[in-house]
Amino acid sequence: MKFEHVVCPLCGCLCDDLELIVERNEVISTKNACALSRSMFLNLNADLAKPLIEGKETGIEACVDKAIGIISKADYPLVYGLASTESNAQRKAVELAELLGGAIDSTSSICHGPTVLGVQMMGEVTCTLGTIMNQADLVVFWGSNPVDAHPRHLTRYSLTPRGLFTPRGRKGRRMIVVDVRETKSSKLADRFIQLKPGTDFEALSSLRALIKGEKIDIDPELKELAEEMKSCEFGALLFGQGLTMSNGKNMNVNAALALVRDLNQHTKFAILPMRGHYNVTGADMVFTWQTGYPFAIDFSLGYPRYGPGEFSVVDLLSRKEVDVALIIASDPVSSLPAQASSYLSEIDTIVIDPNRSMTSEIARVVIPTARAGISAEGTAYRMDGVPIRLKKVLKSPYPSDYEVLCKIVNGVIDGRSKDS
Amino acid sequence: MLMGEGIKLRLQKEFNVPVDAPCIRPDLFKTLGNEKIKNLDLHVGNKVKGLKDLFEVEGEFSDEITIDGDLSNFKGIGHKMESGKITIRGTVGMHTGAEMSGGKIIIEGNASDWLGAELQGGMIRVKGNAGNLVGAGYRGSKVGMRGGMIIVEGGVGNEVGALMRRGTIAVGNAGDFTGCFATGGSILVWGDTGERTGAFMSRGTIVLYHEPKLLPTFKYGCAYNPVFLRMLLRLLSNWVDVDPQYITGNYKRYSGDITELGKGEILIWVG
Amino acid sequence: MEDLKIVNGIVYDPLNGIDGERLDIHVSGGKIAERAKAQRVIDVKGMVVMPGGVDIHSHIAGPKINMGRRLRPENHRTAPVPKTDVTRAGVGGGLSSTFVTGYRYAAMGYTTVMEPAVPPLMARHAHEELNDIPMVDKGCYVLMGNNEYIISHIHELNKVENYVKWLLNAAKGYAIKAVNPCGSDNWKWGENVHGLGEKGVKFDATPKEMITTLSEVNKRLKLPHPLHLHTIDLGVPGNYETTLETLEMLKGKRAHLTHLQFNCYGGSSWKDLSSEAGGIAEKVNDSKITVDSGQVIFGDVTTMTADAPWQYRLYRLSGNKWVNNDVEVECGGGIVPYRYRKKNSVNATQWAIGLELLLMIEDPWRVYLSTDNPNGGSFTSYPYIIKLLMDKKFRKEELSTLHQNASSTSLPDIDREYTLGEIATITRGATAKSLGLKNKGHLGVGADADIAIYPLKEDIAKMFSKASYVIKDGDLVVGKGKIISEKYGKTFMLDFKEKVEPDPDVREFFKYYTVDIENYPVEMAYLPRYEAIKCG
Ligand code: SF4
Ligand SMILES: [Zn+2]
Repeated sequence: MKFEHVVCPLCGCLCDDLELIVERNEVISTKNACALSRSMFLNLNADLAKPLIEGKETGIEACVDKAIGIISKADYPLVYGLASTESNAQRKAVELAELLGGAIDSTSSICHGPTVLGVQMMGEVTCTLGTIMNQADLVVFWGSNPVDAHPRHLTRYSLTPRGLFTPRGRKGRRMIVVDVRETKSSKLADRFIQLKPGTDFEALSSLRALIKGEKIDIDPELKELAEEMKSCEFGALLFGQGLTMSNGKNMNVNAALALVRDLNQHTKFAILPMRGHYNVTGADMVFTWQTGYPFAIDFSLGYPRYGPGEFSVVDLLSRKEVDVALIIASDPVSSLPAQASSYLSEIDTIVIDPNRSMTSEIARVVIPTARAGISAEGTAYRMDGVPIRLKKVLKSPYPSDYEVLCKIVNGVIDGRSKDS
Repeated sequence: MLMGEGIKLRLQKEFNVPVDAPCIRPDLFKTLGNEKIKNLDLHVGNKVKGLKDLFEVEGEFSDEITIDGDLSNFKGIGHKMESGKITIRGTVGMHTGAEMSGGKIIIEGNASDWLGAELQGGMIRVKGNAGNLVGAGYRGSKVGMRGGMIIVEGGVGNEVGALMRRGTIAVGNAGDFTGCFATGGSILVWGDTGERTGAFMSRGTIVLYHEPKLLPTFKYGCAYNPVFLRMLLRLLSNWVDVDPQYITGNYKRYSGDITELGKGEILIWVG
Repeated sequence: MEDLKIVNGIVYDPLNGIDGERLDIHVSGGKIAERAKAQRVIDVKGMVVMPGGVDIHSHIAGPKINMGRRLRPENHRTAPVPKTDVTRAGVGGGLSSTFVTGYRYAAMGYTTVMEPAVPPLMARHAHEELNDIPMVDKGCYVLMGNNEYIISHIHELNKVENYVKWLLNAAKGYAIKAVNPCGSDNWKWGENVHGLGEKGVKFDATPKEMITTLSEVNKRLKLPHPLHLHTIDLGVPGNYETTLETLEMLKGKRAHLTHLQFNCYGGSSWKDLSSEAGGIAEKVNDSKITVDSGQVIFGDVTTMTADAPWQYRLYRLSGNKWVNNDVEVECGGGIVPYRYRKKNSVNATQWAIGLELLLMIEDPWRVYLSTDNPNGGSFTSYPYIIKLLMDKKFRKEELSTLHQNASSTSLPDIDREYTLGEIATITRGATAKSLGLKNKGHLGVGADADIAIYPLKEDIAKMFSKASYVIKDGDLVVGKGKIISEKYGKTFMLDFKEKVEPDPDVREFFKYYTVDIENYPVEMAYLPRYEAIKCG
């Protein structure tokens, strides 16, 4: 069976033009998918999670009941992950955290959390990816490497496509890469500016001073960059974790946001974060409309409080403040610093995930689910905030993340009404 | 009202779950008898407990509180307090003295992040170290500290005095981005400072006693001995040892951040 | 759902010509009934009974308000809203979270709210948020005034008609919205338009052509609500001339000019800005146009519009943080926090203009109460505005605390005081009528049983801020201003009777989108409870 216009639930590009051939509930071929995507689709059945309690296989109902029992008794539980699931699951997860008086955080806090802090400080002059396609004659990738991390970004959105006012495609666009090392992306660039590691902030500040017309003594390459940025017709600065996670973090983002904002006194310029997981943007969105805050939220007082550095996953775990962790569609053991992730094996950790992971290996309870965008429908938000509906192409024996979370929420409520 | 000897709180057992304790403030305690103090609510994780469940409480009707124990996971002690005194004989958690407008907090151990955040007035002194964002403005705010004084004898983390508008902060050592986004006020660092001091500042003064690495967006002006600084140092010598040469010596003046208004200054002591 | 009988109330139901009569209201099966078996009788002796409020213009859901929420943690921090046994937690400053938005509307007796500015590409997002707003029925208007497909087919009316119809259906929207037509598109190149006849930077359509085209299409499609227009030159000193021209151009036509206060300015700069509300009101009086006021409320607000060049201007004026988002092919928008100050001459004048419009436009069926939430202020200020309208003395007192320029408007000379019946008109009867929602805004037999019951109080603002009871679709949901049970309303969409297929040109045009046309239309899964209103 052939599926068209399939949305790829992998990276923040959220490409929606895939074609899949499915036979006997397996994807046997893909069209338009990048290598990352293809290998995901062709290996969907590898490493599937099984319902486990204390490492022993059991029924999914038993796992859900066990999870309800554990989480209901927690003094301060953490709900974490959610970047690789759809928005209904994210909505239910917030409800659960609120119900439990726990904390909730998404993987935002370990990738583009600094971006959010930056935006909250400076604002953000941005656009959708199609605006870049239609208008941009200059694209600057700063601390981002689309060729490896977002393989189709350059061809679908930012470099080669011909848009409404960019009929010449690649030929009508300048590509500049600013990074601390050569990458596959920098090799494609018309100009590559290599920074000393940890000096992004100085470079961005200097550019701002130059744009303002101040005279400062810096690298002539940066001076040329400032001129190029000022004189383009429509520019876009696309930044990644090279900026957000290097020395200076949110301050780097502040400087980049301010630079782009200031450029709009001379021309049109926009800035976009290259968000990684396909629906990490959705987690920000859902958390924000339900609580006012995009990540690192605490409900212990019965209302939402915001605390990056306080209620964010790394901080809660390394300070050993939570006593139960519910991990949804994420693998913190492989992605968090050891000092934080090691604590997950000291406490009751529950994992809801379609796949086995390092985290499910150490978890007390593992609840397998139908993978969003493969075996469950739902909404995902592209890195620029465009919402797209995920498709269901395969059947799964398991319920979706959303369905499992509904059961847990209902179970906690039932348990309470029995108690009282 | 009868004033007692002061109120003593002794922590009974230690644990990790965070405790929200903004009710521990002297201007509230001085209106309460011992029984009422014991029954004040604290949020311990998602549970509500009485102060007496965590602390042994002695004394009543006093605006002086002394607390013994490791309070690393206690947040918001002295939050919004207007008067009175808290002495913490140990280490304390986040948001201590945040938004306070008067009175005094003495911390004999270390303090954590957001110490004296958005401080309006009063004084906080820390014998040990403090965390990030001392005296800073909360996320999204335009203005941080608006008055009062924070003295940390040890070191502090990053972004001390972020968004500061008025008041004084004096610290032993400081991390990166000291005084970022400041629009006024004074920050003094006796020891080492990290990088990017004064980033985005538009007004205000940062005084450094060790040669820092400055941003390219600060410009050298002149060397001189500022009058206001002499007065400020004399005032500070009430609580900290100020080297007389600091008062008489000269300072190099850099102005910036030129990416912003550029009317902030970094003064570096040259002896 | 049990049947209800509400007895002894003083009823204001302007659509049915009832102006303060003591009547009993029967509710059965979620509707107003001739007679109900009435298992439950609610005695509301001495209270005022009105249809549930209908807000025609309030930014409550979608990418822009959510970006505003994300931008302003400092605003939420001081306004936490704890969960209760029946309600969800959230924040309730000027940018309330979705749940709190629903609760606050319901507590004031509002039961229908329209989100007025949705970029069609982001419509799915708006619907997701609408689905998380409890207590009220809702719908959304679709941004079209800067749509590059329409701009580039501006002279092909049939094509535009087909596209608009397809787009309304794709976005599951309820009305056509135009914001600074052609001006926001120019902003994609850093420009704006000045005057109705100016051509765009990249296209040669003019604001005038866009407005007339959309209003013509609106008529042809027989949409229930007229073209909802945020016109050009908003917020610019001296813009009243453009506004008069716009009104002249639309004379005899159906159109709704929104938050008109921002378009009634005389003067040539921020320094000598003055009110021209009188002339505008006169012009509105002799047209068919409807308007809403766009009252400003003193204090901190977050401005957010699809008028991107205006937001840039406001950023430059205030120096506050600024968000801009240019949406491919369709529109743009911006967000800037702002503080309206009593002692600021411009802000004080703006405050007076909003009231002048409400008081000088004679026909309450054509001028509606709004703050353009959250732009002029929060919707929670409606009771305060109602008090200003009903109480001349209070108006004068407020005026005396403002910058003197507010007193050089005609406001000090206006003696008009709204009656309760007129308040019911501008907050429910007339708005429901303008929206073409036949089952809303009145208490006639067959209407949705959305009922607000207010305690009769000396202080009008108190009376309207906490309804004694609110009934939503026949269920008692609010008691003494508190939510007693949570309930989710429906979403209004349009019923075009036949299937809407896009013109091949539209398919072709989708190469300028980064989303496939097959993935573009909002699926019915996003409208779990809906009512499709027939066009025509
Ligand atoms: S670029 Fe990203 S979204 Fe597109 S196909 Fe590759 S992995 Fe999937
Ligand atoms: Zn509006």
